[in-house]
Amino acid sequence: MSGHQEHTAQPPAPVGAPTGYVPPGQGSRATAQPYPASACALSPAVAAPPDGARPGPGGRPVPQRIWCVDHDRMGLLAMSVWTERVPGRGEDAEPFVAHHMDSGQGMLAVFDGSGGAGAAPVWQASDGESRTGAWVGARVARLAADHWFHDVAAEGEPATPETLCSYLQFFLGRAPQRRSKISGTMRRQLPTTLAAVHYRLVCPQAEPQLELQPLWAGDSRAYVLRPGTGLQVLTRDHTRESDALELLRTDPPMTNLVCADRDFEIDGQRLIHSLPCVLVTATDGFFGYVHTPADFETLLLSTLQDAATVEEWADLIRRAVQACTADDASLALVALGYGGFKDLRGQFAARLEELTDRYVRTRPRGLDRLPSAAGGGPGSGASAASEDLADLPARVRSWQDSTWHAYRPGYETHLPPALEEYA
Amino acid sequence: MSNIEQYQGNLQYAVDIVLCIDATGSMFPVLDNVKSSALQFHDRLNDVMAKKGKAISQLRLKVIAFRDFGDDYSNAIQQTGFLHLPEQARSFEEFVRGIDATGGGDIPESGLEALALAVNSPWEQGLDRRRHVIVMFTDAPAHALGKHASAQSYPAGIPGSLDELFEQWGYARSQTAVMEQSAKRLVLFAPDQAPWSDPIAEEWDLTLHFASKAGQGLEEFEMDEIIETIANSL
Repeated sequence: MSGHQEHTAQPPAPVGAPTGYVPPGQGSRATAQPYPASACALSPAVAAPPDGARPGPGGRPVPQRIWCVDHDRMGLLAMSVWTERVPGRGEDAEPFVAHHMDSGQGMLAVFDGSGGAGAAPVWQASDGESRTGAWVGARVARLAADHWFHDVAAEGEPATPETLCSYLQFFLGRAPQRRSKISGTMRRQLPTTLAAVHYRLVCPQAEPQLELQPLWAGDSRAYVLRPGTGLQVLTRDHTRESDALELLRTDPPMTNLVCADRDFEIDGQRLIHSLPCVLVTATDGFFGYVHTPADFETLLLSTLQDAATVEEWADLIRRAVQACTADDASLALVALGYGGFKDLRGQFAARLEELTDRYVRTRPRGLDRLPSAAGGGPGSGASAASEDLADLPARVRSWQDSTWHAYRPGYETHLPPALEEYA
Repeated sequence: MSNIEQYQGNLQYAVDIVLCIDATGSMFPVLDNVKSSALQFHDRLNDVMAKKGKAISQLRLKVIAFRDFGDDYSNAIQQTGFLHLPEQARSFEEFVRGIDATGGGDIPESGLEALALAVNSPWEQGLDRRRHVIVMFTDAPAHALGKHASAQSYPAGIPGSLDELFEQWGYARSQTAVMEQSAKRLVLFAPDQAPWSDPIAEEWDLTLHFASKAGQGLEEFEMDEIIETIANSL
């Protein structure tokens, strides 16, 4: 299987796309086609959020899509959230979520087309809409990941970083490219990040376990989330800096990302986890604009506690991230081994209390009155100015340092070692 | 600027830009372009950034106009300090309006001296999400560093070779870099000639190179295109 997604439009195939090309957004349905009988027989609950049908500026649909499925009998719950910061200009591809019933394995992935490195237009749709290399790169990478997972699940392809890399190279090599007037070491053809988790249910003894393989290039991330240990990162950003708080403060350039014109590497590691557990992949629109790394976990769990269904959870996540991010944001989540949404929510209630006590109630006074990204122009902070805010920057920095110091050991439990750098 | 105004959370970028402008005769069109756009530079960059979902917490601009120490050392370098925009837009405009596109002598110019001065600028060190961007406008190749080091008014502290300047620019695990690795960017509007295309655009990290036609003064570049390229580098 892979799930069903609610789409507002289906762009035609890019010129030069490989034979069998499936338009972006249809990839997950296409995955189901070769093996429908053996695939997960879920009837996904399609979540069309209240805002989903409301036209946005210029008659465009509001840029958000969520998708989810909750099958408590099988202990499988999945969702994805996708939003654009600027309507019609988003460069994240839609998240990929798939679970193959017969082989007991699945995959979730996100793709963030890199606008700075791939800003040049490379493809024009039949309606005249021009698309950048970043936009095309993210969607072609999604297509490649879709095919890779199909072949892993149904054709015996080895699930390794190297085989995923070769699928990406194959598809990107056949995607539309245009020679740009701009060169230089920042430029890439069809650049995108990729963060995925391939998982497999195994039963070596009586208890089922989960074999996990995070796979990534760039600065999108994969996580495991469990009630006792909280959010733990499974990937290390391909940047020269690896401290998550410092990454928030500097937003450094990437040293490795998926692209069509240079060597890149798919990084990976293998882990075993017991059930139940939640797997998450997210682009930096979710975790790159928060005040401290713990805020992302707080966002996930506070919205979970406020939701009555998985559809509501996805919609609350979407609303929460749109209120604080300055970027496109996409997230894929799979929960395995819980007895439905209520069980999941109940198991994380205590963890949210702990997070709230340690990282929310300790926030410096005035922090939440700062201008948001949406309204923040130069000098816009002046309206929030008052005497008690005079030392706010220093207090925020001190709070960030201390909360990160407390949160970091658990968060970095599975942080992999650094990859040799790419220039 | 007060502390309150300085703290913008993790959402905005503190941008320093050094414009290195070849002010020799053939560069009249681009200079005219910059002059006419000076007062709108801040708003136009903000607009382009907003379209990309980014915002600027602080914008400072510094201008280095250069010609040729081998032709006339007295006007080979003219520069400002960092000017806060939009507050000091008038000072920026006055300086740019005062630059005449003139002189230059032989074909190569003193562009590498200007680049070295830019690299060693007093960049913002305090705010989060810093971006230190050098933008080079020239339609000519450059004299080797040090060729005119004996000229009167030749700036002190200029590296003696391109390799030394590269060390100041920095690279992975560099110990000698002057530029901050996560913040630096180099945007070149320069001909497809040494040293601009090779080695700088090809070998230095974090470069964007918009190849111009040698000796034709960057006439093909509109200000919108220039600002779009700068915004994409951030």
